[in-house]
Amino acid sequence: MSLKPIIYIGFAAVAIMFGMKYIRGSEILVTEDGIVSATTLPLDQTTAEIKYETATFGLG
Amino acid sequence: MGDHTEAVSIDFDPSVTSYQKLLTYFWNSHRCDSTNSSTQYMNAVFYQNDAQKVLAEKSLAQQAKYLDMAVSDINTKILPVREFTYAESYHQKYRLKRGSDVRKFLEETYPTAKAMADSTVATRLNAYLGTGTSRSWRTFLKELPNYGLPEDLEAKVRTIAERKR
Repeated sequence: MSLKPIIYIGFAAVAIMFGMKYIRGSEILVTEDGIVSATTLPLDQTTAEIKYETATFGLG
Repeated sequence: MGDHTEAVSIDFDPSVTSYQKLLTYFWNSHRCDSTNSSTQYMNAVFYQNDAQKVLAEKSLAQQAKYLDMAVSDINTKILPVREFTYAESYHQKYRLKRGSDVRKFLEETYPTAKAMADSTVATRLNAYLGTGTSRSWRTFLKELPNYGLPEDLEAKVRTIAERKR
């Protein structure tokens, strides 16, 4: 069996994936600003008022 | 991602838990003798202020003593936090199944990655429904009405929790 069709399908799949990514565009990433953005739900409204602290860890 | 390190940022209520307690979880959750030198996947405590730095260094020394290792053999870094960038939406609350009613509702309520990450309701649903083990279902069922979910969705979540209990 010829490998050519499989190779073509592989390349086509990769091209489609990149094409889709290009069409959708990448999400704009935001940085922490100390403001709680989630305040719609009642529990979130309550927790947004807590004077919280932040701990940050890198877990390889 | 250039010089970025993948990290988890935990906002906590200091009247409920403490930074020291979170440090204990951290040390128990990774291999501090790992020789992985990648910046992207580094084991590290990123401190926010001098008080956290002191506690982090103290915890490192305690961990070294506990493991009978020299402090210099611990490869986990203690570094100042610079800037925290939220990961893309599809990384947030990863345990909540794509396309599930709960996720759909949360995505409609909090369409941005930051809002989804900041939501206590989303965090708790992700933890309870996502892992499903060793959870205090009684506590979950008790606090569920406070989440403010639509009635039909709350009923569905209640059924799932009662099945897992």
